[in-house]
Amino acid sequence: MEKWKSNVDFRIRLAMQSSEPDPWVVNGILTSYEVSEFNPVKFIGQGLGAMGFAHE
Amino acid sequence: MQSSRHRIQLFLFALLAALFSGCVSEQHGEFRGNIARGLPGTNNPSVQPCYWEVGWRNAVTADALVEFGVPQGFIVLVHSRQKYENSYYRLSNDAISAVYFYEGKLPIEGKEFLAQDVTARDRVEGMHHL
Repeated sequence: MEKWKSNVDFRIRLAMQSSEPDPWVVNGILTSYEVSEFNPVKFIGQGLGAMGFAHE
Repeated sequence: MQSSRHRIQLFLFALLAALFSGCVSEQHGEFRGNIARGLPGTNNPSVQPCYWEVGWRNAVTADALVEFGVPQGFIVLVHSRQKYENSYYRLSNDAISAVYFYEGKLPIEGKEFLAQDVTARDRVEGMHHL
């Protein structure tokens, strides 16, 4: 089972186990998603950098 | 008239560029459920963050992989590179050919792993074909 929200987001249902006497069991939902947010610190840093106030 | 419209366009472009320069995109991952050695149901389901998400693709190999690091090790999805690319870089059920659990602290070397045949992949130390 899987569900897509965008190119980079996905969810996949895994219910599997290895074929060993003492198996590894993976049973659950793996989710991967991208979070985009406005970062005011980065915004101010970019602004200062553009004005020549910030130097490495 | 033309000049003022041009200025407005320039201003909007500068504003958008400034706003987007402050945007940060981060990939997050989590696993909800059980990952354990032993019989199912011996552990309570929990939410575990994925500390790593590493992809391996090479233009000359038919297979590619992506691995997700969880506290117990790595969930490794081996998939068809071509199907993944044809689906605009999305994983799909029919593209995934094998799922492994890897008991390791660091991700596996994808290039080395994919260069081996399926039998040899199953024999890699710490690798468990699910």
